[in-house]
Amino acid sequence: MRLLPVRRITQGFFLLLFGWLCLVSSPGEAFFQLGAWPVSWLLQLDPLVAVSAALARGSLEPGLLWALPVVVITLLLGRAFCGWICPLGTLNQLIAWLGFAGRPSAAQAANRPHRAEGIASGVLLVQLGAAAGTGLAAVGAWVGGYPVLAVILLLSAAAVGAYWIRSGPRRARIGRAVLVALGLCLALAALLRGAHGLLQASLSLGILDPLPLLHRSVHTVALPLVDRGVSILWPFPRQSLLAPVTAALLASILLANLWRPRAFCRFLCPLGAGLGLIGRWAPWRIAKATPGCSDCGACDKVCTTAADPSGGFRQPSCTLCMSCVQACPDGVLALSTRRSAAGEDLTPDLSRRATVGALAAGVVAVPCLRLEGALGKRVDPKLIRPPGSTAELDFLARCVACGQCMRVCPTNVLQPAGLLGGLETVWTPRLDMRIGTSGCQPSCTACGEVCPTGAIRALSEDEKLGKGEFADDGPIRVGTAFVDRGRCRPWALGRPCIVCQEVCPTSPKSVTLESVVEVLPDGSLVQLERPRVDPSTCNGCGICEHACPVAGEAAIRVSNAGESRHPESTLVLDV
Amino acid sequence: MGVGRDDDRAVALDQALSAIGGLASFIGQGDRVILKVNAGFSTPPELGATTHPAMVEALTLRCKQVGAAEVIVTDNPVADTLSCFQITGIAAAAKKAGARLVIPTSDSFTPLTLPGGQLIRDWPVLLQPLQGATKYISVCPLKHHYLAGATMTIKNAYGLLGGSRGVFHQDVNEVIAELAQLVVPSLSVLDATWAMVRNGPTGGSTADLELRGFVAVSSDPVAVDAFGASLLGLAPADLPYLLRAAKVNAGSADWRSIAAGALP
Repeated sequence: MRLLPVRRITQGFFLLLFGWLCLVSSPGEAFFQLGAWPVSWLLQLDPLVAVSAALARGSLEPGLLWALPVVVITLLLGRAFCGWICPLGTLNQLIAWLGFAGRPSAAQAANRPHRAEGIASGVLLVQLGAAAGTGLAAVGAWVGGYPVLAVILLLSAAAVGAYWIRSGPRRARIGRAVLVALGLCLALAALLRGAHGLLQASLSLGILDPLPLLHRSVHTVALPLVDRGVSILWPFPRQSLLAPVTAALLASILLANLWRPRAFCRFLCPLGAGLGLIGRWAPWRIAKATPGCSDCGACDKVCTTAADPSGGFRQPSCTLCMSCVQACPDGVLALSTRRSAAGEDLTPDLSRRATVGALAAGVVAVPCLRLEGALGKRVDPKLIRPPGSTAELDFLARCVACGQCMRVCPTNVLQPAGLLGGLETVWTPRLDMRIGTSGCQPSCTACGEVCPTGAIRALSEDEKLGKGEFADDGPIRVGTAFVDRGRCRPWALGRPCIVCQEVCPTSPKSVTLESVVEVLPDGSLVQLERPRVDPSTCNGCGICEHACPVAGEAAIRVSNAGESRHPESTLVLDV
Repeated sequence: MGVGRDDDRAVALDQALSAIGGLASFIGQGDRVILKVNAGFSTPPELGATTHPAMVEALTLRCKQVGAAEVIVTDNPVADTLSCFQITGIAAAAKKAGARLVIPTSDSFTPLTLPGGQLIRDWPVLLQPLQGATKYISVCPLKHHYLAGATMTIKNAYGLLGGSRGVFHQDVNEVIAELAQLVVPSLSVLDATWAMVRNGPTGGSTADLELRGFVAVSSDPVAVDAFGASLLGLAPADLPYLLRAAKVNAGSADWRSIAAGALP
């Protein structure tokens, strides 16, 4: 059976499915809306999302078990996910095909293996190292409780690892290098047992994970941009903070295909590197039977991931795209359980020093990022997380910045946080009340419904509003509104207003008014209603801030003080 | 002015309509009718902050029965537009009854100046859905409003304004009086079955609602609103915008002299 057309159809199917799921991520129950589709399914397929989340949290959202079939496919067939399913891979391949059409010798040169391909493994190890922090600290703390064991472990890891690394065949060294690195990190963690909270997990270094990256780019750039022209998804133009940065990253990735086909997949993609790592023992692979090969190079011209099918086959780079099999005029290439007669090159693309270095860099990066101290008491008051978000450190160990919440948010109030929480928060969501149509709608729980990693919990309407069985807990607060008396019309300018009180959706209203009669500078009297906020009922929805008629910085603004997920920040003693 | 009395909105509406000679004396064959609802907030219908879907459905069906060619439901809500029409149940009711829902976009507004107006000058107004319409019905619930005292069928026209209309709160009575001149409804329908008596105009709890059991219908919006005000214990003098509207001949606040039907 010819598999190339099947592969192309499969790729087309998953690309269309991706596009469709992006389009239908609008709240509602119709067939073209959120209620009818598992809109986060492609993200749940991503094993790197699952592994990072599991490392960081020690547990897994059930939906992320969808990654398991992908792992099984990879164990059996190598990086078939990259060649057949990944929508970013498909886009890359499409652009490369357009870019190199009619230039076979240029393609052959561009498809030669390149030493920089090791960077992808580095990206992967940094991401995993950063995700492993909390787990390492926990294990370290446990081991540190048994000092003798710790010393034995440290010495044996070092000795065994050092011996193995020196004596083993080159291609087997990567696993051992990882072992040594883990041993060293563990020992370090044990030694630092007293340093509580130094090692922490964060998923913020996973910004190159291809599925979250593509979702985020489409959600915050492509869809809002296109819809400005056609107004199908939203009646009013959407806004996206950081759109130029997001767009530039995606554009660079796509344009890089004109330099080297599937350049991102080869040089940067942490998921591809990871799948190549676990798929190298796959029983089925592409193999070349040497007798009969005329060395025409047709296979190398079409091998976009530089697996070198004509030479010592680099199986971890092969995405099973079947192009070489189709292109071979001699019929010597085939998918089989045999190995290439000319041998395979399974040498890891990263030196052992680089491996240890990358993993350690990831582990150390998180405490380093947090030296900024942008979290905790010094947190930026505008870092207002979506309702149902877990406490900030847990949130950062869950959020993969896929942008699903921002896409689904009907009011557009969810925006990338930028640098508000330091370098870690760039594409994580926050509420920007001045953007969008009307703050956070009281009965809307869409963001928590689509979050694939549980960074935003799925809330029921009752839980969000503190009704029914949740009456004793009160509403979920994302923050508290504060009146800026220096900008407020009745407070500062002697003019009536009360818009904030009018739109406040809680009952009783959280914005209350006090009536005063003021003598204006010209001696005339004016009756004014001045707003105040009751922190015991305000849930920080921001509808007041959005509606405040004072342009630019509103005269009533929500700050994250008093948010439910951080009980220590409460403003009300009896809650 | 016709008044119907029943806990069921549709029944009360029919009573009120028959008290003034039936809907056919206002809407005729081939009319294209605008149903200007209050979809202001994204709250469910049982909280009474928005036009009840049962009212949207009943009015659409009645209009079609007397020969209307098309019924167009529209509003420019305070809160998120899509959420508002969806969560209030108005979108579903319009669809069910066969009305066309027009959700405004940024292109739906045209700057307009009310001749002699002080506030509505070169201000964006929701005109696009109104193009080609022959009749205009204002339909909304009776609600307490902190600043204006009460919000009823005349203030319902606030939802025709675009831009940062919150600035008009500096002189809310003037802007409502100007709205009474900006649009002259063919019919004003006030749903006072469940009235929001406090915490208006958003409410947020069923505890903010009280049963009054009336629906009032008239081509005189001032009379309808004056009647509604009386159900909240307010006299026309408590609502300066009503007096101003009456002064510019938008109608008469003396509802008793023209009322028919099941009066309180």
